Order: sequence, then C-alpha cells, then structure tokens
Amino acid sequence: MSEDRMENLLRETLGERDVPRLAPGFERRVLAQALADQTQRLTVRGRRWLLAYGVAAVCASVLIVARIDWPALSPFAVPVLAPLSFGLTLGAPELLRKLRGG
Amino acid sequence: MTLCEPATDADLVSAFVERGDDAAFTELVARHKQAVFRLAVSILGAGLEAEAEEITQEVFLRAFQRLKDFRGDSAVGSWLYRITWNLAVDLKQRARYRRPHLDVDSLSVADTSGRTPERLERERIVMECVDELPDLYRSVIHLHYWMGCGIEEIAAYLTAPSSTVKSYLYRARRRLEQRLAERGIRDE
Repeated sequence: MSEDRMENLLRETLGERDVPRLAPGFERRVLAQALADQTQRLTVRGRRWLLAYGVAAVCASVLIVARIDWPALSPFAVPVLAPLSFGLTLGAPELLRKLRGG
Repeated sequence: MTLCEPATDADLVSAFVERGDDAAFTELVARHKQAVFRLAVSILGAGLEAEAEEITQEVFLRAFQRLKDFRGDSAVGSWLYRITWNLAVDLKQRARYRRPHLDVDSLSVADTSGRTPERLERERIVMECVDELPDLYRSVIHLHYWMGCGIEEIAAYLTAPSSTVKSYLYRARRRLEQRLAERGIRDE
C-alpha cells in the first residue's frame, strides 16, 4: 500500500471521529478531590500519632507506678522516664494539631 | 514577573509548593489537562474515554501530592506526561486482559450516514489493527490522525525529537500496512 493511500485511509477512518474532550469544571473537581484526599491522609496520620502517644503515655504510667512500688527500680526508671515525659509534653500540641487535621 | 507576563509553570509550582496557593495548582491543571487527557486517550484508544478521564484526574491528584518533590530537572508538562504514560499503559494492559477485543459499538463513529457497509467494515478492521499496534505506535497514530496533533506537539508529549516522532509514525504506518494486508485490506 502506498504512503499516500495509507495516509488517506487513516485520515478517513480516524480523522472523522469526534475528538473527546474533558467536561467543563474538571480542574475544580480535581482540586476538591485533592483537598479531600489530603484531609483523609492527615486524619490517618493523626490516628497514628494518637496511637504512638497513647503507648508512650501507658509506658510512662507503668514506670511511675513501678518506681513508687519498687524504689530499687529508680536507677533504671529515671533515665527512661525523663525523656519520655519530655517527649509527651512536647508532643501534646502536635498531637492536637494532627487530630484537628492541621 | 510583570502584570503583562503570564506566570510560567515554574512560577505556579513554586507558588503552590511554597505558599500552598491552590489557585496556582488549579491554573496548572487548566493548562495541562487537555494534553494529559489526549495522551491518555491516544494510549487507551476508542471506547475507553471514561478511563482516560479517570487517569487524567489521577495524574493531577498525584501531582498535588508530589509537586513538593518535583526538582525541576524537566518541564512540568514532561513530568505530567511521563506519569500519564505509565498509568495509561498499565491500564491498557489490564483492559486488554479484561476485554481481549474491542466491541463493535465502541469502534463505530456516531454518524454513519453516507457510509457503505463495506466502508464501515473496513473502518472497523482499521481501528482493530490500530488497537493491536504497540503502545508507542498506537499513541502516535491516534495523536496525529485522530486528535490532529502536529509533530512538534507529539514530540513534546513523548519528550522526543521531532525526527524521532516522524520515524515512529512511519514505522507505525508500515506495521499497520502489514496487519491490514493480513486482514485482506490492500491497495485498491
């Protein structure tokens, strides 16, 4: 088949088909979906933060109780408790921000 | 940048990444949406326009998440077209698995008036043969003959020189010719 014939065949077959176009308002829909997905991701991150914070708080509580009941544990509990308490204090505002989806 | 000069893509990206400017992102989508959609349709082919629209949306959703990681080594458009290509080729392979042959309805044009049954049958065979071409060749054929894109425009989509696109088109036509000959369509 000659080049011209093939060109004509393709133009006849494909060139007469409607060219599909996106519906109007596409960019607004994409932005709305992107923002919704972002909020969802933040909420998931907030839940993970809450879980980590909860585990740390439980560990700190167990250590405090253990230290009171068994004073012999103090030399081991204090080095762990100090950074844990520090982390819990600093992490609280960040946790609240994540849970609010900020 | 003055008031007379429209913002470049790079300006829009930095406005979105640095200031969280959603309007800048919307403008980026508005600029590239038709090109991304055309590229997706060219890979997926006739009858899968709805899937092409879904891919177009997915491309921009990914861009929204990952623009902060975009290093600017290439143009924003090229980056978007690469994502489009990967998503569309992946979907096309899955679509082939689900539906080995295109149905006749998706191949026929809306207005068949003035077409003889022989011509309609020939068009159906041509469409099927185009659909069987490798992804790259099918895409350039669709972009050039269906969507009326020029060589330069296709070169931008494929991030390839114009001479390479011409070569792809030539080879695609040759392959198509062989397939059409196998289906009994030869020079009359």
